Amino acid sequence: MVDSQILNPSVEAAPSTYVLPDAVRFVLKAVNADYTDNGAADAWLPAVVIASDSGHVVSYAVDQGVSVAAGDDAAVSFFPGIKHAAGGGATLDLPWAAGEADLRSNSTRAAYFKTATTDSNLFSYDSFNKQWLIFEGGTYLYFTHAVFQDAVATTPAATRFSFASAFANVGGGHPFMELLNHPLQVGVLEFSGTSARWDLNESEIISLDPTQTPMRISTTAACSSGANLLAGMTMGIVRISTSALLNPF
Amino acid sequence: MAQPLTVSLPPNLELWGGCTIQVTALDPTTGDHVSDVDVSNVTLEVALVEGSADDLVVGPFMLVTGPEG
Repeated sequence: MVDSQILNPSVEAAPSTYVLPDAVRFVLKAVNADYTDNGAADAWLPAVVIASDSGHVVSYAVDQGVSVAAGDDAAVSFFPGIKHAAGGGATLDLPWAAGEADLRSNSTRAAYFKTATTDSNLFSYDSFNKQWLIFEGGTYLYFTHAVFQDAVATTPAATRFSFASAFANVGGGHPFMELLNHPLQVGVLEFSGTSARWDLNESEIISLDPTQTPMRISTTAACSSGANLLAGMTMGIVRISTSALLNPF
Repeated sequence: MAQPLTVSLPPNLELWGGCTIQVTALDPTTGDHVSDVDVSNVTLEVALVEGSADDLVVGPFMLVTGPEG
């Protein structure tokens, strides 16, 4: 197919109409026009209206988001594939908390040495008890990543690593629910006589009833070879909804 | 210069003899054509499927010749 361009340079009161000759069939690729407001009472929308030979409209090329104020002029291009950025939409800004913890102490709660949150009324870290607290009901995404590595070249036989997050509530009413419904303990691994590294990821979607707040979250790591363990973890928690889903399944 | 605006056009829309293309201004509420708005320098970029470029000339619409025209 060969591209051609046709032009009507004259000034006409809208609409300017082009009727396809009988001998022609073409694909319309683009339209451009200059618009001049000569006293329109209100804002208006530049448009291309395409109709078949029977006079029925095939399409309106018009966008409510592309409006011209009364009295203003415009140079308007029409072509396929335009997608205007949404105007005035709310930016996603979910409250979250995150931390980095040391897991080297055998069988004790992870001690977070770095913590951050965007909402201290919602999330708080209790450094004495080594617990994260959530003070409001809702649905939360909780995720952790931990790395364990035995420090010695030859790991003692039957060395075990384990890692688990624990969730606890206070108050009456409904208990929290894990929507993903999988065990909290994410794993135990046994090594025998070789140096090893173990990467763990844990994710939970938690529904927290407002009557159960605050929720307490702690993470415990264990290594049977004690001081030989090198380990650390990062965690994050994001409130994805202010509503708690109490009976999701 | 007048404000530059863009509006989406249906892709791959093949038109035939007797079809019409109206460049117009519409009322945002009623969809009616708005009076007191003039249109000028209307250009249509088309990919011919049948017919010749000379056949495109209708009324005030003239063929724009390129460097090779």
